[in-house]
Amino acid sequence: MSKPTHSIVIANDLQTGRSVFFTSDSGWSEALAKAELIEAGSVAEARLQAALNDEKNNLVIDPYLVSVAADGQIQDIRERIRTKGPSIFVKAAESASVEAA
Amino acid sequence: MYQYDQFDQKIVEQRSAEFRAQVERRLAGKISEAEFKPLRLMNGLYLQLHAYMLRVAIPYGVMSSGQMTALADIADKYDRGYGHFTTRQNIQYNWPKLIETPDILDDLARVQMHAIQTSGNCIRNITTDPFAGVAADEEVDPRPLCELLRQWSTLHPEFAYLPRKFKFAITGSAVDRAAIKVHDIGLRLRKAADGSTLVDLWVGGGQGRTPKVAQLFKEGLSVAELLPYLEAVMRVYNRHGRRDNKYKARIKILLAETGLEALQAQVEQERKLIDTEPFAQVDAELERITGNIIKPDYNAALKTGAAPADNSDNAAFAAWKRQNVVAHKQEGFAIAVISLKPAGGIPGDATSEQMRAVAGLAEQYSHSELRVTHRQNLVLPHVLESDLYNVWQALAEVGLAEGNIDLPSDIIACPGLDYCALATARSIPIAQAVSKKIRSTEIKTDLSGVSVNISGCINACAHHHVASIGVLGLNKAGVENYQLTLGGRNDQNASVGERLGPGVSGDDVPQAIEKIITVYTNVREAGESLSDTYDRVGREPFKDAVYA
Repeated sequence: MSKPTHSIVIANDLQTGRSVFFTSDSGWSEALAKAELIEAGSVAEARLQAALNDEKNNLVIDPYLVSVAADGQIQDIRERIRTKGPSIFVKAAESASVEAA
Repeated sequence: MYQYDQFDQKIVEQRSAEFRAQVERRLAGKISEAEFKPLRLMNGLYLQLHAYMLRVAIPYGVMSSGQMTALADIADKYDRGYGHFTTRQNIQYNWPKLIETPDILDDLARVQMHAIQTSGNCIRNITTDPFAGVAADEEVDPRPLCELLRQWSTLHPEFAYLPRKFKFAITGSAVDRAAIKVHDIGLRLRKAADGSTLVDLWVGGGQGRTPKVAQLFKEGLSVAELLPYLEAVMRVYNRHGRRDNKYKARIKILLAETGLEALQAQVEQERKLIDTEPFAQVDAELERITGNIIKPDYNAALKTGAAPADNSDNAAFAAWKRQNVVAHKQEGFAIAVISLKPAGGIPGDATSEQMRAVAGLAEQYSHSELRVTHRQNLVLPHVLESDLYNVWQALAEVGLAEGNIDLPSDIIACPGLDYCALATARSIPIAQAVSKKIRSTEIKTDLSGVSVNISGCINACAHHHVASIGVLGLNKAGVENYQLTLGGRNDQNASVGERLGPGVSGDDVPQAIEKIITVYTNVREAGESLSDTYDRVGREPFKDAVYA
């Protein structure tokens, strides 16, 4: 697996609790594909500060940086599941589209 | 089951209204997450990896068919069409939205249900024998005392901010099906020679990162003496339990650090200070509660029921009956356990369709009553023996006829890293792989002495310490790794399992368990459980097989 060189910002939406990702236009999306891939380091820290403002504004809860390789792969199992959803095929039809971790 | 009164109804309605106002203030930004978190936790609302999670109380695991139907409706209306039954005999929803949670609590309140004290550092849902009141081997029905303690502990102002969460379990049988010795307080009810009820009090059991088997703290309390004594135990714990380190805050640590005799002395001293006047009516209250537990009219049902049909030629039914049906105290009746552990399935999960089907079966065949077991299964407690075949057929139609109760594939598993914010590894996919692998073996070979529990972190929500085969998922440098423990027991002879050796990968867990079972079946003596065999032959044969 490639070495992490980038980050994304993840949080929970206050109203729904769903995992959401900070986007390049400083919004939030439930779609991982729309997450802003940020170069690690000072740029990432600056984007995290922007995301943290949305916590103060009661939009999201607990934003933090997740390390990501340049090809978008996430090494840590917890963060991989956090970003992609449960790895299991849950019974209800509505959840059948959940991706495998 | 116990019939709640208007007082209970008012409590749940008031709490629901109170939480609605708290949610509105949070959404309006009038209170921060730090301020809101303890409020939502007091109402069973967690924030997990992907969403909020709502834990709904099922007091001592007993509910009506109407309540089960309401739980199914909530799963469809507010969640993703399923629920997860837990080891505290509760149910969890994995996908509720904060903005809809007050509506969920309103819907629960309409059927006298709630989420009060399903989280937080308070006295949690009291658990008991899932066969309470109906087991053939029962000495004392624990349900009246469960209800008394539910009323005593609900919103008890003195015990709302304990050093840590606090768990009670109660049994009235010599065979402990409530795992009382791995609870903060375990109560064993028994009959005295004069027919009165006596209570043995076990204190300081628990699991987590420091597993302990409870110690016998006080023997032979009368029921009238019990509440003041419990109040004294709780006060001493509340005062001296460690608040500086949450990993050392449970009463098991206080007991270990203080010593049994010293802690007993402190409790006795405290008891002398307690005003017993408020407890003077306990016997009368227990009598009232007992009167409010509606008992089925067994004789009337027997008169109208059909004669038991001979279905012995149906091998599948016979196998299910042999494994999932338990002796009832009333002749002509049976206790039917419904497995929520199909091979390859998610332990404890039920779809809304399955919940409604079970509610319907309870209404038709079990006097509208259901139970949840701490092994994450369901129970129809009052089934005419002549109805068992129809029940089994109906269960098969909704995928609930697996005949594997108390077999290795009857796995306890926590939600693990697929949902839980505390988890360090996944437990559900491991359980699915293990049950798929061992189901065919347990059909051919008697493996009733083997239990498998899988926890996704050291908090041990799946009770891995007290399974004959325990699996603990850890995270090593971002990769899941699973420790195996052997020799645990959760019954009247409770013991903590011992670590077998180095952890293995998730892919290797099913094969490792298969190897352990093979050693057991090769060397066991008649009547031995896996833990008995482990005690006799030691770790080496199992270790050699797994790490060869």
